[in-house]
Amino acid sequence: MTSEQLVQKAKYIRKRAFEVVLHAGKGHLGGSLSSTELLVALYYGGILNFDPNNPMHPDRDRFIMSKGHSNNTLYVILADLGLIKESDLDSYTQDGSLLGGHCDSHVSGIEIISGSLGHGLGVAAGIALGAKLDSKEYRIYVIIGDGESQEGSVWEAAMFAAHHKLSNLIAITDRNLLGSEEFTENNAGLEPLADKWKAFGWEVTIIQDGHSIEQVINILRNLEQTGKPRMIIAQTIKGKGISSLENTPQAHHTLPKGEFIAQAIEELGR
Amino acid sequence: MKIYEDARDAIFEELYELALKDKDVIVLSADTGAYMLTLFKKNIPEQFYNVGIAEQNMMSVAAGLSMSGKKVFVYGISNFVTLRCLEQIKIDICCMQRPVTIIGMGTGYVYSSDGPTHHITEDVAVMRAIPGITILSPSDCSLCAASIHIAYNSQGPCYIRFDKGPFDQIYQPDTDFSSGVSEITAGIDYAIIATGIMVNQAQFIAKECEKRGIAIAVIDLYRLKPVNTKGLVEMLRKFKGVFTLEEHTIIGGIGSIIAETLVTNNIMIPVKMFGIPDVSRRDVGSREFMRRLDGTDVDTVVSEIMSAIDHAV
Repeated sequence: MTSEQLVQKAKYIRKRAFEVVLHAGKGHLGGSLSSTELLVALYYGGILNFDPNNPMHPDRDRFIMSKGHSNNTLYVILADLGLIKESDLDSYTQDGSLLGGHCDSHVSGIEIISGSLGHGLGVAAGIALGAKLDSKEYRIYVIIGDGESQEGSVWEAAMFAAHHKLSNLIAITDRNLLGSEEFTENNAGLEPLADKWKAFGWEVTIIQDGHSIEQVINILRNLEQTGKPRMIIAQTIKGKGISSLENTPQAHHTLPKGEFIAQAIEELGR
Repeated sequence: MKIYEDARDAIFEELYELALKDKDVIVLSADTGAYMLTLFKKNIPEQFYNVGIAEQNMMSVAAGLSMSGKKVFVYGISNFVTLRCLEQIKIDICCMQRPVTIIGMGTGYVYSSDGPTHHITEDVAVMRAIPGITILSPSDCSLCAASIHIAYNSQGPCYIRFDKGPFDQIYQPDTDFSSGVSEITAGIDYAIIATGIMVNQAQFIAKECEKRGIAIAVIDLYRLKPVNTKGLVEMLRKFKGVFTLEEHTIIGGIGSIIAETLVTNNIMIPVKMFGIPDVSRRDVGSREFMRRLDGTDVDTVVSEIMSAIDHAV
């Protein structure tokens, strides 16, 4: 896909995710919208070695959405790739639906159950170690949240991955500055986050604008092999694309109401 | 299988032999040692990882390794490989039915004088609440050794809670343990049901009762999940009353398992439970000292069993 096509794809994913959430009356738009370009780059930008026609191929790159609540845009992508049905999206979180409010591995294309924070990086590290032991070439990509990074288990996994030189592990922090209720720097501050990861033995790269497809792809395509696990900190905006939600704590799982619904539809359609 | 005298040797020698034959067997330890693990380190280092004192990550890593086709065994002190990382066990391992075996060293007051941090007194209650896990609670070295093979051959998660003993030998090494429950001493009218290290204690109690003219059966419930309900019901149906003995909180352990089994199968016989009362033990002392505080020592249990039977007759 060209850059412009990827931009259009991101637009479509956002718009459809909002439709799904609006229809369901619930969702986690904030973190789903902040990670949209990261997902579009991975799935459509030639980063993930992943064949939607063979989603369990043993040599596929693995992708784990560790912040499992951010599944609104991810599920739209899985539907767009044909792994799930559009009708599954329409029943999101409803009685008997395939799709719940957090990622579940019973959904084709989802590797692990996630939603309790601080698990995904450790599981990814385990897969990465297993791949190394079997001399497999595939990579393990995992998106973690910045709020999630307040979980101690994230740092247990960080130590483990660096110790075992898991260079096939590529983590991306969706640095949208917000947790569930509060800015991370107002409760248990994460900064200097990049320095922390460096100190833990990771190779760290910062994406200045995590909503620039070009920047995201450029960095993901040109990762040097350093023998270390890789942390990419993507600076993003929670609720990106819906101005009434952008950069607000309520973006986590509150939906626009009243006049803001029409405004959001208009903004996402631009 | 050979006859072992030490529970840890039984567990880890069998595991080592399996690991030599199957390179997909991976052992993780949260910086907890055992003599046999030095052989893993020396001879098959690519199959053994001391992940450091980080049990939550150990469970997640184990799940991840299993997703790469590995059969993973994780090892640590029972409290720290259950309570400390319960959510990782629930989600990463059990919910996704990963072939990961948790080997928990120690039960009850094995570290009696080390305080409540090291009293392993809730693991059964907590772990059996998680769907999809097999829980084994071996009562001698043969059963410890067999537990490793049961876990290896299972397709899903297992928790082996074992005590360092000492154990008297109860079973021959080639015993078929598929039943999960065994009446190891015959008796009339009454039975005492125990698990793990307390089975030897129950045998001793039965002998003391016998000296007093009461032949009480001893039942070893060594698979705590899934419980062999059919086998257990058949066994219990013939008794007028049962006693349960455990070095575990009285809430949710084998006393609860027996009570639930009886009630849900319409067997209306009395159950008297001997276990740890609902208190945090801050007392310091030997295992026997702690048992006396709880009333699970031989003298107290024998006396209460005799009294209960006297009153029932």
